[in-house]
Amino acid sequence: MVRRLTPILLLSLYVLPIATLALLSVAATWEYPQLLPKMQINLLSRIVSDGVGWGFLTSLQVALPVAIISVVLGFLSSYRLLGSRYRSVWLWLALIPFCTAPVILSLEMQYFFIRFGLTAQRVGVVIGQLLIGIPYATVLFSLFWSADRLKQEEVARTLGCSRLQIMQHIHIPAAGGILKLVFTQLFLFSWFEYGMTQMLGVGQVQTLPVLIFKSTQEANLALAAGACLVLILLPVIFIIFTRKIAFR
Amino acid sequence: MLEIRNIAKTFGTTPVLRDVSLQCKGGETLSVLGKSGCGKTTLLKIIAGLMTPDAGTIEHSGKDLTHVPVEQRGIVYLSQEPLLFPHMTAAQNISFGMRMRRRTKEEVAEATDSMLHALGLQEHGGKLPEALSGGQKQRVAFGRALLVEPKVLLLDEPFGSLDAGTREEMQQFYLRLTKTYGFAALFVTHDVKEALVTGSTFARMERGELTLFADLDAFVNDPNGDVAKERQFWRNLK
Repeated sequence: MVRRLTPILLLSLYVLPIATLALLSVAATWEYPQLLPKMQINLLSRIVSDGVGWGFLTSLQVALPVAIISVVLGFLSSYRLLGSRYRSVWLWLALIPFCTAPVILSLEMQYFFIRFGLTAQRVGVVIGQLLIGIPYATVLFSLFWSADRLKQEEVARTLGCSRLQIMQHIHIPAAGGILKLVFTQLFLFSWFEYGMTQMLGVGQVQTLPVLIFKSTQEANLALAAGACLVLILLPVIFIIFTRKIAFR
Repeated sequence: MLEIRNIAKTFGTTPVLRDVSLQCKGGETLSVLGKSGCGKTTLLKIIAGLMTPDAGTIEHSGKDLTHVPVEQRGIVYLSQEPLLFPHMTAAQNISFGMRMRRRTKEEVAEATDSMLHALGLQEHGGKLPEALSGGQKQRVAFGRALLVEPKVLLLDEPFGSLDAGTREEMQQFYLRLTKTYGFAALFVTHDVKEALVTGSTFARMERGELTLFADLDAFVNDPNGDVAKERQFWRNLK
């Protein structure tokens, strides 16, 4: 009985808050003692027109470049560190951005962002998040690069392979799992990031988390709930998809 | 013919190779016997192009290879570990060099199939390296090297990580390959018996210096060599 109920209980722990959000997003009014709110389906289209759709696109325009650029540069820089005499020093330096919270890091960097006209710009938020994303990816990918990889590369070179062929046919396919894993983590970091986005975007770069905080402050519950739904929907699909391919 | 002249290499202030010269003809295996740290691996890596020498030249058939990039030398290096590519099957590992040379699919398939047969691995072509035994992995590494038709094969204690039985089997397998494919090879080992079984010419390496022997008798009767020490050991054993 307990064994049968446990998965149902766990599932409901996850599904119930989402169902409540879905309900709130279409609630026109919800007054005591009504068990269910008065629903207004056309609220959904209002939510979309109120900025959730744009918030979704903005979040995507920030999270995708952050994840892609961090993965590419992190992979290449950790590869460059392989066999370097100062590898441990560089990896130690890569941990520095994590000594402070993203919002404090952006406070420290804000002068330069204002100086270069990057505040209130999507590109500024992307650059800010890359300051965390690239070192994070570098540290994680350094676990992939071992002495054996270097030896495999030497063998491949004596077999007539160029460095590009080695990267394309040996390293990237061998790193498939960790590449997908780091991409997912960085995408989710950027997708849910609020403090730095708000600080560097000065409220002008309205990603979904920024929109949720804003609509909550304005007591616009339907908009906040709708934005929350969209915010968690994509990562859920993402995790289901990557669970299938990355952790096989 | 591979010709190495006066190769020298120093790491920091420590000389690792001192004035090393040697010759190796096609179809010949030069066995280089030496203890760990005597400079054997450095010598092979310099010949392969994976390290640059401080002095000296490397030639093959009269062509200077000293400054030719690794991938254009046609000299394949095989180490103690098979170093198979873990995401490729045995067949894909064997055909790797040919595929990188953009040979046609038919050519690659035919050559791979015939190599799998020559290696006695026809039933294991579809397996990933993790599903192969130590000896089978080393066979695949040999197949991968031979399919690119190297001018010279450099073998850095290739059977060093195998158990005694498999090692003996692989030594015989190696001799069959040399007869079939007729490649020139430098086989470095610290094992006296292995040096004697696999070599057709012999050398000893000590503290970065290479001593070449005129024939098997000279190698066996070298008073400072490991063969003499080994014989002495067996004589003294009661």
